[in-house]
This record gives sequence, C-alpha cells and structure tokens, in this order.
Amino acid sequence: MTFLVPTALALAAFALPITVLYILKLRMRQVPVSSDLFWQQIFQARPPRSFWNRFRHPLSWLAQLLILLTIVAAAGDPRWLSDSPPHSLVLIIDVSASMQATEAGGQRLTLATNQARRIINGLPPGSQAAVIAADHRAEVVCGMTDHIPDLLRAVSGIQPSAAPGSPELAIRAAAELLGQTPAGEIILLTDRCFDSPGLTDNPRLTILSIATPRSNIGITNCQSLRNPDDPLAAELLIAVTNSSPHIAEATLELRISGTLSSVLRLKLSPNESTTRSFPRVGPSGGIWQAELKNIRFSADSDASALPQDDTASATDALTIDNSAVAILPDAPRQRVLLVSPGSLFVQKVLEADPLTELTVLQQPPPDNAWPQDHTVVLHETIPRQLPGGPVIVLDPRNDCDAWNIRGTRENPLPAQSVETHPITRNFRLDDVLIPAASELEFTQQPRILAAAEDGLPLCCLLQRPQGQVVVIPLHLTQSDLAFRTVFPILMSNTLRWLAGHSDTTASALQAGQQTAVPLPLTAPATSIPNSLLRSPAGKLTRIPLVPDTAAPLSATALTGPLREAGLWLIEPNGSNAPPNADSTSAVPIAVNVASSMETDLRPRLSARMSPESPPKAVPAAGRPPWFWLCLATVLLLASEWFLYQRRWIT
Amino acid sequence: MLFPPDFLTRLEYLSIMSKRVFRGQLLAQRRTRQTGAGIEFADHREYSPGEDLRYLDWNIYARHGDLLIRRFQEEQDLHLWLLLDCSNSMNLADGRKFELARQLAAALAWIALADLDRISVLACAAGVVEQFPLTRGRERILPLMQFLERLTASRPQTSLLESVRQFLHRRPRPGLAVILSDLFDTAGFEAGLDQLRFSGFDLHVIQLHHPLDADPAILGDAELVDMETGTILQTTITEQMLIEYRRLFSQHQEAVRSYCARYNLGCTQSSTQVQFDSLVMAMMKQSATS
Repeated sequence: MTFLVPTALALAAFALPITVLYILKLRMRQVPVSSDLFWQQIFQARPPRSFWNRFRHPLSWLAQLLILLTIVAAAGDPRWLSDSPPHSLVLIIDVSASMQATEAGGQRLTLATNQARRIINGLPPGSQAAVIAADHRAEVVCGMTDHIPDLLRAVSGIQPSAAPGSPELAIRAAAELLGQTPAGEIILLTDRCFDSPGLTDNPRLTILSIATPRSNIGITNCQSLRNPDDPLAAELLIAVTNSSPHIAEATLELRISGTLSSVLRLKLSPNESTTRSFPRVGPSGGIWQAELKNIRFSADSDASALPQDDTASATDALTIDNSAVAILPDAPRQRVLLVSPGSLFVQKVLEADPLTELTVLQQPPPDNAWPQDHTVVLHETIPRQLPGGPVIVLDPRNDCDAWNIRGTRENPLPAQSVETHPITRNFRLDDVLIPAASELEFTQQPRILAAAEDGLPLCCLLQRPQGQVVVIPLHLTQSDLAFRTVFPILMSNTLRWLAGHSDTTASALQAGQQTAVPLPLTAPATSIPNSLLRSPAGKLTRIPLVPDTAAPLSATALTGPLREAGLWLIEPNGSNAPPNADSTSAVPIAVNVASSMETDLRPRLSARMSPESPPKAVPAAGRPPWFWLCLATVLLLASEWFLYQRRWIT
Repeated sequence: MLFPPDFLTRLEYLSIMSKRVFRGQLLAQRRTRQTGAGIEFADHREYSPGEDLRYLDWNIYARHGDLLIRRFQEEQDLHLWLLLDCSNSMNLADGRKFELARQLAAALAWIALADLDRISVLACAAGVVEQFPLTRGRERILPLMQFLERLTASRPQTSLLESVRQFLHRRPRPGLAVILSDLFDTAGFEAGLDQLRFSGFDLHVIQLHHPLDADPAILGDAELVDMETGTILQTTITEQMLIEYRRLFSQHQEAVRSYCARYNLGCTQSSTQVQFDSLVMAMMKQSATS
C-alpha cells in the first residue's frame, strides 16, 4: 500500500494528547455518600471492579488510538499496490441533452460520473488519466495527471449540456492526449444515443453504456418568423416527436410573452413527428413559449387503453425537451421621405409596405432642411450634398458629394450578389431586364452587394459617419425591375436594414451553438468593453463586445456555445445589474434542445462492454481504501461509544 | 444558623396550633394508661375483700347486688424521649439532614414542655453518645437548644439496636419515643424499634433523607466514600446502576412505612428540602387523622 498524501500521517501526533487525557481521566473523583448500603447490594450482583473493568480504560484507550489510526490512514489517501502496470486513460463523459434523462438508478449523467469516479479510484499507482466532457464539442476538464483528487474534482464539476451529442471530436482529443502511449485507453461513458458507427472500429476505445431504452416525447423544433412579403404577419413553427414504441398523448401549450395563446391536444403514433404552425398578425413581437404537458404513453394502440391518471408523466424520461422558446422581434413603423420627380412604381411600392409612413416630395426641401427621423429615398434628382441619416438612392442622374457620374453602361449583365447580406437576401437580378445603368465613380470605396459581369455595381452600400447609403444605379424607367417581385423585397429589406431591424438573428438557437448578436447601445461601443450575459439558470458571465465601425451606437456580442436550454439575456449597456426578462434594454436569445437525436432516448450505438463487466481499471472492491477506512472509523466510534461512553435515557 | 432569631416565635405558633387545632393528639393532653386516683371514670372491676369501700359502686350494688369497685384514670405527665441520630451519614453534603433533625427535636420538645410534659433527648450513633436529661417546664427550652447546637454528626456508625439497648439499660419510664434518623443502619432498623415496642413505648419514626440520598446523580468513574465507615468503593456508575439504586432506595423507604403501618406506629418520611415547621404541621395532621 502507498499513500498519496503522506503528509497527513503527521496527524498521528494526536495520539499523545489522547494518551494524556486518558491518564488524567484515570484519577477518579471521590464522591461521599450517606451509606454504601444500597451500592453494596447493587455490586453483589455486579462487582465494581471486575477483571473486565480493570482493563476497561486501557481497552477504551486502545480503541481511541485505533480510531485515530484509521482517520490518519484515510487522510493519507492510501492506494492498494497492484501487479498491474501504470495505466494511461482518458475518460470521456457524454454530457449531451439525452444524458439528462432519468434511469431507474437516477439521472444518466449522475450514473456516468459515479462510474467515472469508480474507475479513477481503481487506477493502479502511477497511472495517468484525463477527463473530457463531450457533447458535440469536446472540453478537456482535466488534462493528463496522476493526481486522483484533481481527477475526482474535475468529474464532480462536470455540468450537463442541452446540446446534441457527437463524441467524435472528443475521441480525437483523447487520442491526442494519449499520444503514442502503448497502454493508453479511452473509455467513453455514454447513453449511446447518437449515430456514429465508425466509433466501434477504434481499438483503444471502450464504450460503457449506462442507459436503457426509455420513452420520450419532445419538441424537436421551435422557430418564429415574419413573412418577408408581409412584415405584419408572423408564424411559429413547432415540431413534436414521439420517440417511443407507444402511442403518446400530450397537451401543447403556447404562450406569447407569458399569456396563454393556444392549447392543442396531440396524439402521436410510435416514432411519429408532427409539425404545427401558429399564425399571428401584428407589429408587436414577443417571446413565444411552447410546453408539452400531461404526457401519457400507452402500450396499446387502442386509445381507450391510455392510463386515466396523470402518473404517465413519470415515463417521459427527459423533461428539458418538453419546453421550447422562440423570439419574434417587433416590427415598428418607419418614416420614409421619397424625393422623386414622379415615379408611380416607386411610390406604390413604398406605400404598399405596411410598416412605412410615406411622405412624398418632388424636390429636395429648401435649405437642405431634411427631417431627422426619416429614411430618405432619393429618386433621380440627387442634391449636391447627401442628407444625413439612412439614405436610399435609386437611379441617380447627377453628381453629389459621394460620387461623380462617369457615364451610362448599356445592357449590363447581372452576375453576382451577396446573398448573405440582409439587403440582398432573396434577391436575384438574373431575370431582370436592365437596359442601362449609371456608371458611378465613388469618393470612397463602396461595398458591392450586386454587380454586373464586368464589375459595375448594381447595388452597393456606402458607409459614412452620418449614415448608411444604399445605391441602386439602374435606370428604373427603362428597366422592368419595378414590375418584378424582387423590387418590393429589395426595398423592404433595405428599409428594415437601414432602420436597424435586422432579422439575421435566428428566432431560436439549438443548444451548443455560438451566435453573434447585434446590440443597440445607449453609449458609444468603445466606452462599453463588455456586457453581462445571464443564463436561464441565472448564472452571470461577461462577454466582450465587437464595436461596429460604421455605427458607433451598435456593437456585436459574440456568445456561445450556449449549452443551456431556455431564455438567455444580454444586458448590452455595461450595467452591473443582472438582466431580467422584464428589462426593456435586455436582448433575449432563445436556446432549445431542438434535436430529434437527443429526444430519442433509445441507445443506437452498440456497446463494446456492458455495465456489468467493468474494464480492468476498476478494482473488485469498487471503492477506494479511504472509504473502507472511514467506514471502519464509524464502526469503531460507534462500538467505543456503545461500550464506554453510552448513557441510557430513562 | 441552626436556631434563627424567629425560631422561638415559630415554636410558639406550633404549640398553639397543636392545642387549638389538633387537640393535642400528638403530645399535649395525652393520657397515660395508668389507672388509679384520678377523677375521670375509667371502668369497673370486681371487689376483693379488704379494698377501700369508698370506691365501691353502691348504685350497682343496690340495683343488681353486685359488688364492683369503680376505677379512675390517673393523669400522669407524658414522657417524651427524642432519639436523635448523630452518625456521620446525617452530615451529607450541606449537613441539612442533621440540621433539620435538630430543629425537629427542638420543636417537638417545645410543644411537650409547653404542655408540662417531660422530655429527654438522646444523641445516638453506634450507641447513646450523649443525653439531655429528663426535664420539664418551658424555661428548659433554652438549655435544650444549647445542647442541640453543641451536637455534631461526626460519629462513625449507626446502630439503632445498640442505641436502644443502652437507652433501655437506663430504665426509662415508658412514654413516647420519637426516632429522628435516616435509618441507614446496615444491621437493619427493625430490631431497635422492636426493642422499644416490647418495652411499652409508643413510637413515632421520623425518617429524613437528603435529595442526594434519593438520587445520587453520579455518572461515570467515581470512588464512593461511605461517610460512616470510610469504606471506598471504586466503580463506574452507569444509568442502569442508578436506576437500580433508586429502586433499592424506594424499597427501603417502603419497608419503613410497612413496618410502622403493621404495628400502628407513627411514621413521617421527608426530604430535607422541607422546612421543620411545615413538617411538624404535617405530622400533626397525620396524627389527627390516624
């Protein structure tokens, strides 16, 4: 036997005070009594200082020393000397969403960590091990070390994740940690609820399964979306999957910003998925919350055989996928000033946008008195100096401070467009007839969103401190663009983007994803180095902000991976107060499990080793020596108390 | 202080109470069983020739022709013998047991003296160690109190039988004998009391005990020192032993009560937490109702 903490053996010095205290205790106190008449009668049956009693104190003293010995030995963390050579081991613990399912013995992740502790405690002396927490990413929570307490602490600190599981990355990381160690072994503790058939080919990998097939029903998708053609119309899409061999019944409750909006009774056949959409009309957005309740499973296909009581919820093994959230952004009204000598098409397109309040002028306002809270759309007639704020320029015919017109290009052929930009999303010029377009010479380099084959900008973006400018130099009167569907989409996209109402952020993320969230700020981004991020469980972290060079009052927050399902909140303005859902400035991020793979709790990957046959690293006793020493201490304490310190309660 | 300044006042109160309320059932106005030249008629007996004809009941002779002599109860002074235990066991802890016993002796003596009875106090341990001689008259209370104050409970052992024997060797006139003791006699208390009964004494046993006698409250390792013999008993006392001790003590108390009830003797058992006058009043009530 060897000791991992030999310095703890110094605690044996406590034997000295124990001995001194016993010597002091042996000097008995004298108690005068009126008569020993009754005591003599008592001791006739039991002699006061029998042979046993003479050794009573020494035996108690020895028992106390033995208790001290076991405590000292346990504190030294002894290890059994083994014939097996030192071992190199990497433990991969699956922390994906399905590991939060409950088994008969407890949560799967708890079972996995318990098994990991047993393996670590059973490592031969000199062995090295590492611990990796794996969902679809890999996090090395403890590197290769032979310090058992560090490994145990790392295992205890592992947190569950709502992200989908895919341990390939973790296995690659484990292989890198092991390097060329010949005796290296990788143990994957998992529920096998993922599809990775190639894993079993790895000769160093041992898969320990801690799961049994469980029934579950869950929300596998939840997204909200505004109609690009009608910004007032929105829709929530919810997909529910029954991952069980039984008929499942559940009530789907939908709440919008906390108010119950819809209740739907679902009945799903075994392994059936259903998708439901819930429409909504109006400019206001909100947080959509969907929740499955009153879940019941039936082993019989006959619906009448469903259990009548509400105890079937216990058979729904995973609860985190029973709820989902999605965010629908507001669609506020936007003031637009159209300055045009007269284009009915442009005017009608802008009037048709339900979020637009349009004002039409034929000439620019005198003395350049441009309204401050308007988006200005300039058609053909361009003032010498562009107004401040957001501007859309259609078919410019004269020079200004941002460009000079070099001429007109005949029949430019549209060739490329940046489809990822919000302005040109769902925008294609391939079929548009473009007889002519102005050739502009910009005073600053524009960002080209769509261009002709020869590089002529057909849609470009000018970034200036006073505001963004979108320039579309096509000759509208000659082109059929104004008759095409893409024109109102282009105008709508441009107006929304210039107003800062970008829908580039997904309404809900899958757990484990990273995201970049645009944040409106009340102060310049340079003065706010970071923001507070609050998890659904209330944990606060600070995240850095990336300032937007073009817009001083906006920045982007890079967050993730967001491993917890629920509503995350970002307080963008550097306040130290934790953000809450009622705050007007807090920016919400919806994160859901949203994975049919995680909802399906039936193991799919074949295990190389069953849980009943643990790997060779686990000793037969299954417990470290300090555990047995502590147990012996408790037993000795109880025995010593019973024999020497006991007092009866009458 | 054994006899505080108001002690005599309290004694006077007890004396009045004993006469007015309890009609002297305990001590005062007790009558002896002697028949003789009293004035209170007792009974008749047959005439024997030579007897004084003045006592012949002529009325009965006239009616029935029987010669009967009238007998009268002779009023004699009551002799009160107070046997006070002065063994070491009476001095346990704060000595309250011996203090109460002396206060009781003084109180009973005062009541008797106030009624013109005769009293004597005998300090006993292994035998009679000291005696306050037979005396009468209220003025004798102060010497008696001085005698009691001088007494110490420092004698090595209790032997009630030997004390009674030595007492009887002095040929005392029978009367009321009051035993003031804890009755922790290794030889037993019955033999001594039997001797007194057989000698024609009325008996009243006052058994006092300290709270530590009833419940020693000792746990763990201890050396038990017998205050009378000095014997040391090394032991480890457990709760179980304490339970057994309390059972034996109760058994001892019950044995004293049973003995007194069997022979119609007065019996008072009390803890030292009781004041002496309360105890005397309780004794009077007990005597009045028995």
